[in-house]
Amino acid sequence: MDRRIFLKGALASSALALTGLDLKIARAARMNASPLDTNLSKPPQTEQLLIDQLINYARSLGASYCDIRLVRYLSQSVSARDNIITGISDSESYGIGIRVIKDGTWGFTATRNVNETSGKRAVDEAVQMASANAKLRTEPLDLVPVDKVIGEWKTPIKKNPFEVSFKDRADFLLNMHAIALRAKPAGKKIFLHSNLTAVREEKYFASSDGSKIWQEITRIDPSTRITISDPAKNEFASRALFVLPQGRGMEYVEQYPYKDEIAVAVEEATEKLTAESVKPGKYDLILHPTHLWLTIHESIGHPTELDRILGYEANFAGTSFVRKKDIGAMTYGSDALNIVADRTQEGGLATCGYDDDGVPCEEYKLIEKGELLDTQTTREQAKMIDEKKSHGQSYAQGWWSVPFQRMPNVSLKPNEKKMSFDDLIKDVSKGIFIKGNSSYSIDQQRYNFQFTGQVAYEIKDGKVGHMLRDVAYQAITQKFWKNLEEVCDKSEYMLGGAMNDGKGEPMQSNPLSHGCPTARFSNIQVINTKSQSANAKSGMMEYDEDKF
Amino acid sequence: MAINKDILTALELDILSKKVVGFSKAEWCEVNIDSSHSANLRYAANMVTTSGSSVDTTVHITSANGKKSGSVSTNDLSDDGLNRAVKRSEEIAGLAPDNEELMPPLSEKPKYLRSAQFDEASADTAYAASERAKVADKAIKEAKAREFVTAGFLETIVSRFALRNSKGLFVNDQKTRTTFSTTMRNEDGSSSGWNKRASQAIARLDADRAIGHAADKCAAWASPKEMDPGVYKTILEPSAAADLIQQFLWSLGAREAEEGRSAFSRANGGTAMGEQLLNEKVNLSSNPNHPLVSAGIYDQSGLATEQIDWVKDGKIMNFERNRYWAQKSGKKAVPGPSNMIMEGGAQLPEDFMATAKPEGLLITSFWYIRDVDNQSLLKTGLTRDGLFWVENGEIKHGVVNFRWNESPIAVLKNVTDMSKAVVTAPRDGWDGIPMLIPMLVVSGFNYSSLSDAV
Repeated sequence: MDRRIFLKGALASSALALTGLDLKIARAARMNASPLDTNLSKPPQTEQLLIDQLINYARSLGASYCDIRLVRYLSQSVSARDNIITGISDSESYGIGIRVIKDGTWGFTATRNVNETSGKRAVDEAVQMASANAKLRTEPLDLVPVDKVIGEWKTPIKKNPFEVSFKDRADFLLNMHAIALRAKPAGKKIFLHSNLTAVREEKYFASSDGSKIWQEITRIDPSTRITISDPAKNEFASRALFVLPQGRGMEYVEQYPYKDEIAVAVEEATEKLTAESVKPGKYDLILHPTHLWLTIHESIGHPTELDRILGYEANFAGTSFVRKKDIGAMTYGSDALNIVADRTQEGGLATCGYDDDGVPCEEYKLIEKGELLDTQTTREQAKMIDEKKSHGQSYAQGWWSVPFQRMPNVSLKPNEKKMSFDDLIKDVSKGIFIKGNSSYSIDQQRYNFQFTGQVAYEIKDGKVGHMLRDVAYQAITQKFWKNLEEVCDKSEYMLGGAMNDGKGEPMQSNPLSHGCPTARFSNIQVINTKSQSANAKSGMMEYDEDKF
Repeated sequence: MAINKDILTALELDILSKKVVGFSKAEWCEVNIDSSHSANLRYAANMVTTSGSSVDTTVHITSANGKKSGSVSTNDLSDDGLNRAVKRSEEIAGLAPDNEELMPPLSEKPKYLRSAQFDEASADTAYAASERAKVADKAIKEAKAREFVTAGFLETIVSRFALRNSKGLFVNDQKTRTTFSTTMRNEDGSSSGWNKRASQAIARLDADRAIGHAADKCAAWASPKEMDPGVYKTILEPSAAADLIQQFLWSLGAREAEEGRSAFSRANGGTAMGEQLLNEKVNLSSNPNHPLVSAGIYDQSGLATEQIDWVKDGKIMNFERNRYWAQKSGKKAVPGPSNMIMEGGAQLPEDFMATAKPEGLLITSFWYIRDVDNQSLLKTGLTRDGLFWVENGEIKHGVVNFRWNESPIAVLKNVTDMSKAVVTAPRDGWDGIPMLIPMLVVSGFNYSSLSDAV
């Protein structure tokens, strides 16, 4: 299909978003940064010495292992609504998290008081906690070994967002909103919400294994949502920009094609109000990276977490349809499915040099040609499945949180052969093209999922057609990935991601990314979300018990 | 041992907040302080996994000159640290564009209710740790005795907090809250049961019953039958009902409704206020002084929380309305819900099942509820840890889990009967908000597809 032909159609202005704009978004989302800003923030020497002293103190109390993270967590945020800045905030939190193993049991305490008195009190409490809880363990925990590390790592950024003035950040959002406000269609109302948040972890890790690691991890999280309403009809529709958080500096935001996308997004939100409502049924789905990253996250990232597989998340986040015996012995999807776990991926939100067990990060294969090869592990969990080493997936959201297994960047490899978007859809007779992520839900063992996108377009006879609304698709994980027919090449590859993947009790947020190219899935169930309530199904607006 | 020494006392909150306001050179300044100790115990695979505690004090400062404001948070409580934070907030305010929606702080002290959300015994760290360990031990013993595998979580949070502004307002409060949830699974992972409790007092958790309920559900759900997707009469246990009702309350924003971008908007700026939107049996309210679900007495802007009807006889009576939108719309500001109370019937859930003898699918718990369509408030999610077919008020058999798509508006419209309201907690969401919710019987609930998840 030649999308340029489509550009000449009635939806030409909107269709521009499917070509030139997509390329600009893709470029911004996978650009390379040369690190210009190389200074690494480190805590004062006195506090580093205090950490050594506290580790020695824990050992003197009988702890077989101790690690301490001294973390300064910075977060700056600018929020805008319509033509005003509704908030500018600057947060800083500093403290230590102390983790010990005593009598084969974990103990963990954290305090903002980084001094000898409070530090020793916290160590005492952690050791006592471990000892007291040891009677609730049937077998002592153990860790796979890791080499002692003296290391440093810093997110490669070109422009430190913390050094961009708040005024410039505020003006950036207001200028972007001004474009959207000028594009407001007649007779409609427009509502705009944006946020630009930058976070930085300055983390010093030291352990009783002798490791000392300094890291400075920067992430940037821009978001914009447009809502268009038709007051006379009491209808409204929203379109979020496809910009997603990344492990980069301000250069990512500056290179993102905001000005191009914001006007298109206003048009698309407006078009949603009157677009054709989808007919439920089986369709071939073409999923754009701005959408597919989240499907990968929920249906591949989570089921391959070893803590879920072993039942450690049974009370909250859930377990997995993948069993321990399936590792290395399960067909997860089609030959086109090649998945890597990678905390070294440039721009990734989970990217760092070392995990919170002090293990150096690496890239490795989770799934190759559809076959499940491996899982996500920490030092403790690797031991449980008799692995010799950890893949380095331990992470805590802050100094106040205990580290545990968290998802790294988990990405779908692009086609090694040339495969453009046009090549991908040329033989599709009845399909739907979905961009952007919206609603997402999956069961606690990761079988059954339902997703919606920001925009959906009909694909008919190999061509992208008109917009569809009320589109959601449902699938069962392995069946879905076995229906993966083809993926595009690296020219269509992009990095999506989220700052707030929730797991654990107390729940912790984990930032992570998922790269992928546009991909084609055959024969997937699509439902119409307007017909999905008991009242909508029966046409009943008043209660009538006999109908059920 | 008593309360954690690093949590600030009421006197320390008073002194610290005065100090912050004293550093201010702005037209006005407001400071919120939260000093908390959180301690937890987690177990899985029939043994303790992680446990931990953390203590922190966060000072949140907003400074403003004219219509410009800036906010800073810090946990550096040294004089130098606080002074720097105040100056930083003033610098940010200097850089900020005018915000026409910025409201000056309250200058008159509202009439606050008396707070009753603190339990002295639960604040004792040694007692709380010992009680958590006892509960975990009981759950693990019960699981082993019944050849189940258990996982669970206990957490106690003790906090003291205060708000002061440069116009003279000062208010402080303290609270304790313990939550306990536990899952029991068959050894082969073919069945699962769950229960959750939350209370300001550990002594009122009733953990034994929670453990028993979770184990009984696991036993009863074994060998579930498949049913076709479709619309079924449904019985929501209080926790599952709470999961959906909180979704309804989250959407009760006045601005969104009046601007035409919520499920409660009507044509040309109208709203659903006063419409017979829900079944007339539905009454939803908040009351910080309710003896079973005591709640916070002030919101973040210092507004006093009070008894408020959200829904009366099935009609929306109030929207949440912040101070700016209240001024703009010429109406009274209404803080968000401090707790969530749904008026119920006369009988406790167990007795209600025996006497009302409802029929339909009984839902123990929901999972992964997400927005699908904000215009109709359509949500999707799954059933989890105990879905049963019930006839004459008795469980006949377990049912394979479903994905569902449904709107809490439709659910509350289709309520036909309810038990007495009981203290409960949703699986997810508003974990810190006390809830008093009945078991609900609804005439129809839309199940969309099957899920093999256990």
